[in-house]
Amino acid sequence: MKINDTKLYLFFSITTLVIALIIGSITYYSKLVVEPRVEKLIAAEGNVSENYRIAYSILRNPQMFADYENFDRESIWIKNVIIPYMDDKAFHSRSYTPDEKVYLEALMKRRKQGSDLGRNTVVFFTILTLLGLGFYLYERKKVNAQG
Amino acid sequence: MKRYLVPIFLAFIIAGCTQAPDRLYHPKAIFKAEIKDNDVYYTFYVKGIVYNSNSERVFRDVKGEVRISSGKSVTVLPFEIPPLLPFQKYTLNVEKTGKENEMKPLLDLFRVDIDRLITGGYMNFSDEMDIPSGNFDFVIINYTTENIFDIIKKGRSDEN
Repeated sequence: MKINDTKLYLFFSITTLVIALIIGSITYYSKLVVEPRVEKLIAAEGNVSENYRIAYSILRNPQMFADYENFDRESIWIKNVIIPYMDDKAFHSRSYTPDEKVYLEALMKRRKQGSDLGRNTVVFFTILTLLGLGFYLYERKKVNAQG
Repeated sequence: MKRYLVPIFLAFIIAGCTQAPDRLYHPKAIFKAEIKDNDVYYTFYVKGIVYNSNSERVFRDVKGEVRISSGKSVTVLPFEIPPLLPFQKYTLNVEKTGKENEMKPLLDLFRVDIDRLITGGYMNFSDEMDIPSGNFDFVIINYTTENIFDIIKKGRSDEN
């Protein structure tokens, strides 16, 4: 029996490409749109309270690969200290002060770690796609040669 | 494939639903004896931690009951919790005071030495005791929720 793996390789390549595209779009949206905007808000010298409130409202939503509920050393500190402190401040409508900059920077750092991990995952799936494509072309050539 | 769609859909719905605090962590019981007006009054305290594990939901107007069943009787300790923010822990303290005949089921359940409680112990308090899980129930009766993102974006006060 002839074994024709071309469809399998093609299906595999398409699947990994789709995954890479989905993760890539989420990751690069964060890197190119969200993170620069938040950095600008944190660095702004005027209207600190309002800028920090907007920055926190963005950073409060974790990046896909850096969820605050993940079990790692940094997320425990963020979940148990930063989030309750900042949420409490928002809940009681207290103004944000330059003292909170360090918390926002910690959240920003975690977001960047998440988007870096997303980027690395995109690279991984892209390599898999290329591998799959390579095998597909090789297998197709072999099948064509066999007639 | 079609027959799996409904369970998968339901699983997503259930996963997305708000999970209200449904247990009291590390529940402990303490008894205190006090002599007032030539009579002995016993106070039964229950303390524990209520934890909001939701990442986005604020629980407000939380009302519930701690129920301790001892033999045929059930002691109900109602409580109210202030607004509970995401990942926040709240130390719950509830208590019930009464004379010996009223508190007897609880005293018997925890095998409290009444004489020792009245005459000795630190300030007439018993040691902290674990509550048997089969006799303990933590029930949330009512609550409302709010999304933390709405609060952050509006910069809303809890007095509004």
